[in-house]
Amino acid sequence: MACDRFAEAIRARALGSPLRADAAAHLAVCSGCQAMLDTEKRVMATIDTALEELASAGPAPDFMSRVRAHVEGAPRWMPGAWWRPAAVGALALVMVALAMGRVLREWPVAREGSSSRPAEVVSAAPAERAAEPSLTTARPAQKPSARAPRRPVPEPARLAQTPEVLVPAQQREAVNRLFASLRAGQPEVISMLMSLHGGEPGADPRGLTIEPLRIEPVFVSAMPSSAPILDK
Amino acid sequence: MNEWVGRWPDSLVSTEVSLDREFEERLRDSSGLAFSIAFGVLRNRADAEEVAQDAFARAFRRFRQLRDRDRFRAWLTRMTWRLAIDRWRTDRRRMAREHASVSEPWRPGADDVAVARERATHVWLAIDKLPEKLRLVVVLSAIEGHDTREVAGLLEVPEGTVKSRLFSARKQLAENLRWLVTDSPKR
Repeated sequence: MACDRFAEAIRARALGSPLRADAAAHLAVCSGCQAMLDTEKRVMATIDTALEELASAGPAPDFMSRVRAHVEGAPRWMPGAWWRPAAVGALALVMVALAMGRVLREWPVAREGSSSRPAEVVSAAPAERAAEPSLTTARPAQKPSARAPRRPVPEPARLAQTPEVLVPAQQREAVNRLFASLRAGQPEVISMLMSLHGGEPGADPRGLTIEPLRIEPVFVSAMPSSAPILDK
Repeated sequence: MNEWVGRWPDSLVSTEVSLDREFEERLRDSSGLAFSIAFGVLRNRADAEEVAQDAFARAFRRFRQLRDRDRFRAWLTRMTWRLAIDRWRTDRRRMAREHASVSEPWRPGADDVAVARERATHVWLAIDKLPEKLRLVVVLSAIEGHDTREVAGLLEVPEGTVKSRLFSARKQLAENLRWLVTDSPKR
């Protein structure tokens, strides 16, 4: 029982720690604890003997010259140069990001362009906007403004029913008047047109000198949905 | 295209020369240290020399960055230790083969040299199993001429810390290696 109490102190003694007085007194009279201390000392001697190998080990005689040759072949790291590879890497990253952004922006257009056919019609009938004097071209009834929400791209089949009309510039006012009259449901206009078709061309008393009015659909390319809509 | 802008300033040239000279001195002072640290981990002369060479090459590349040149040995110690540990982990398969070779049955009566060699191998295997901080202290303390103060300087820790770690390390080693000196060896 007393040996167990001093076992730790005796092992510590083998490691070099000083022995307490009571442990020393016990060790002096206990052969078992003396044997334990001897064993611990032999263990430590075994460890120290193995470690002596390291103390005595040294490199080969030509080690220094080989190290010199190895070191002289190594590039020296210049101070302040650490940022150069980092800057090159960052620049490359930015360029790649820009290129990717451009590709992604153009991708929907390219996709639409590859599958689209020539648009047959681009706007609504001119009757809605016949009174507008500045038009050389009969425009859609509702012109999209910058503030108005963008309309979805119309389907070709639907657009074909609302052709845009082109007229000679000098007849613009007369055509606008004609459409305004038609919209108002004035019966004399109907008769005027009847007389035009039946009588002599260009005999209209109101200045409408068009020969039989030709209304033709205009074939233009479809605008991409992402293209800006200009008001002016 | 680069343009020629003039002569390299003499002051910089002389700085470069003095740096090389200083590094040469450090190299001469510390080549044994780097080798011993690497050998303490790898226990193979060729591998240790190779690791020490790599450590010096790294030290040479970054020598200009080391502001306090008095810390060169501590710096080199850390670098060599890290390289050696990495190499040791990579070569663990080889170490396992060596372990297998020393695990042959115990043969009482074998000659003293063979017994001592086998015991040393077991000691080093036990050292390898120590936690890295304790292992480093054991290796550095075992290098000739290193007392606890010197080791504390290399590790840049208080001397008391070195003593405490060394005590813990030797205690663990004794517990793991006690069977080597008892009559019934542990296998």
